[in-house]
Amino acid sequence: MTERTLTWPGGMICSAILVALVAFVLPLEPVRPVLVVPFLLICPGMALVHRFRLAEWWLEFLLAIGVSVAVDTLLATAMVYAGVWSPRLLLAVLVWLSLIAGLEELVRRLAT
Amino acid sequence: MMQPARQQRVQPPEWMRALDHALEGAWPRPDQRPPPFGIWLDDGDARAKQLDRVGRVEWAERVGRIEWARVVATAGPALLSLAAVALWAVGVGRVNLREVNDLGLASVLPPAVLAAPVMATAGFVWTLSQRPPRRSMLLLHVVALVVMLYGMNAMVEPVPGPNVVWRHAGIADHIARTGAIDPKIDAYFNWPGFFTLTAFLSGAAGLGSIMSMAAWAPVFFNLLYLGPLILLLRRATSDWRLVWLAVWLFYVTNWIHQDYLAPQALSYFLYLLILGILVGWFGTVQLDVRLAPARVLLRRPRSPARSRAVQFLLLNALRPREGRFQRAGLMVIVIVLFAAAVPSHQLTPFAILAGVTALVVFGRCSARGLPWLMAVMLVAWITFMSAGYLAGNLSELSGNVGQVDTIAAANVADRLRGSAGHQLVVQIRLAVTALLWGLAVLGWLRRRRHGQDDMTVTLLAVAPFAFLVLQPYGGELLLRVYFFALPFIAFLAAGLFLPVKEAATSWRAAGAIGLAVVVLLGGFLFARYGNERIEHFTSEELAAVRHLYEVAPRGSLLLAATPDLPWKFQDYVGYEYRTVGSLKSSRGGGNGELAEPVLGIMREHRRQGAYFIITRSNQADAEARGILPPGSLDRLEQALRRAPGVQLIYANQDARIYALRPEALR
Repeated sequence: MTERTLTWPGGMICSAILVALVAFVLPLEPVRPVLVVPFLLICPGMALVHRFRLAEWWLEFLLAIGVSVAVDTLLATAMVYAGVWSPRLLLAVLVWLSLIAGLEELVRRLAT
Repeated sequence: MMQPARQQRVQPPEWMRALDHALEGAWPRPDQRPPPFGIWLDDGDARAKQLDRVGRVEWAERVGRIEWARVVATAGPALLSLAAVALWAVGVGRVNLREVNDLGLASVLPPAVLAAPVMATAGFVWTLSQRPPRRSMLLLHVVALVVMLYGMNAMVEPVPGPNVVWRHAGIADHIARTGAIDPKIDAYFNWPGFFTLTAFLSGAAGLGSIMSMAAWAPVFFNLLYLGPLILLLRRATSDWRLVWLAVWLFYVTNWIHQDYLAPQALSYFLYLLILGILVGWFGTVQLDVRLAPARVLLRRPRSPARSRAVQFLLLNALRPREGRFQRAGLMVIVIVLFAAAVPSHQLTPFAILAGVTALVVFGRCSARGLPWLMAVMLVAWITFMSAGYLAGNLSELSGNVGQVDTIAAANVADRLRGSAGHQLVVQIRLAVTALLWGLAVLGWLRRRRHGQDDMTVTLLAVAPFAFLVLQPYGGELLLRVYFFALPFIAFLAAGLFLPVKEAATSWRAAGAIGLAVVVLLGGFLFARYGNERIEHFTSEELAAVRHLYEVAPRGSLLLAATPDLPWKFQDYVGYEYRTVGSLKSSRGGGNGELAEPVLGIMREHRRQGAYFIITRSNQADAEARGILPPGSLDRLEQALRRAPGVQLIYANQDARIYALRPEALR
């Protein structure tokens, strides 16, 4: 097990917890954009892309940004058309998604 | 009596070897000329032979010399770029936007700001000339260039622009507040993906408005493009120098200004990424590059050892690097990216479809079913989600199909009007475009002469031109075609200077690159920032617009001289927005007298309330672009002051607001 194999799942779990804290528990408005925007631009995509085990880390990172942007766009648009618009709900969904993906990956890595 | 020390052949100590290795230092081969800048970087064998031939003292001297040269070669270019950024930051803070004329920002830039990108270019070419060029250093230069070229607005403008960004903020604000989309309002609500994303981001992050992200958006988006650009171009060649030079040329010629906070900027990232994945993992270019060593061996006389080597290289080249699971996952990613692009922008999905179709038709992409799937997704969106808008605008949208002369007039001829300064800027834009495309044609020919296969890049460079037969796209189609083709055109242009893979860039090539980039940089500053007098807003203008929203009741008419002002960011659907230019075409006033149509429409809206705002940027817009006859806005204001019921309700240095008071008419 290398350091790198644990970096992304560990990072995703930490950032998901931090984002959940500043968005739903502690009203830390000045730090909220600094944590939430990078989280939304990287983590939802990384939850998917990291499974493909690409050879280069920067490619994983690049595709994670692309997929995150796409997933955020599609889900937000779907919410608007469905008439259930709620940025907080969508953020909660993405936090849970990233948390579960990160934990699943971490457990799998530690088990092997 | 002491015996003279016997000169012995020694190996350097381990720590020095490690240092030398870390610095990538090495020795010159006797038969090689030195590279134009920096030091020798040689292969391990030649270096070992040199080391074997020298004694301890000589070796130590050489290490000292080479280490010093290495330090200069590494630190020199980096220091150049860092000094350039510092110089730029100091110089750009002294810009006085009130002195800008119709030549744009270049007319007020201090010499330090003009010199800074040239210094960064010198550092870049210096790094490019080393063998091999350090990618981390090239990355540093590119980041410095992007900050200097695209951070100019953020540094000099007190209020973010252009005016379209404020409109986008209004649409995102409407969605964030109401969570609803009304497709009948305008085209934006039929392709709302970008606006729902920004409404979500600002809501989730606790940002009041997306305008807090607007100032540095061009820098953000251009840095975002860097990854897909490298992914895309590195599959077209195995020469990293060519890839980075193409990236450099992309940034010094991306004057289109479609990288502000807008659907086009984000969907362009998706465009590059989709093509990058397809060319990288589903294309055939990579195979050609990987087969190149085998081809070289095949040209020489055959021997059993060489045959085995060729066999090994062929098998290695033909073996897919990613497994089925990875390729399936990457295809899912492509589909998800395209699915996000479809509801986000009208034009970009068609550009993606054109590029992918060209690759598939000419056998450059193995995903043969993808164009069909993309076409179905596009048609489904148009049929079910934007049918209302298309039904109301079908004749306008399809009226120019096939009329290339009309489209060309709307994209080129109609722009060649206005003040002398503005016309010169438009001519510079045309000249920069012609120069880049000319370099690309020459580069394509030169690489072809050297046996390079650029079919994939050529297809992607040509595919966007298919749009030219469709419709004018508000007079912007040629700009968008340029934008979509730019990465590939830049690659072909770079090929003129670096046609084949070589270990080092020659003096002549380095000089030619430097000269071409400096010329293009000069063009960039005029072409990109040529509308600065029109497009920048002052704090006073913004204060006037905010006052307008404070006093104008919902439902009232907000009339502006031209569209160039920071408005529509608040209660987007709550007001009726009009401009004098649109009135002139629909209600007359062609003789230069605007008072009649303006007062007419204001009186029609007297029940709801009617307000006329005129700002500094409006006047600059009318003068520079020649939208309205000279002096007509001054005469209009004089007429408004005399008109019964019309009052000047707000005035500052840069803006005035007139209101038609219903009670005054009674």
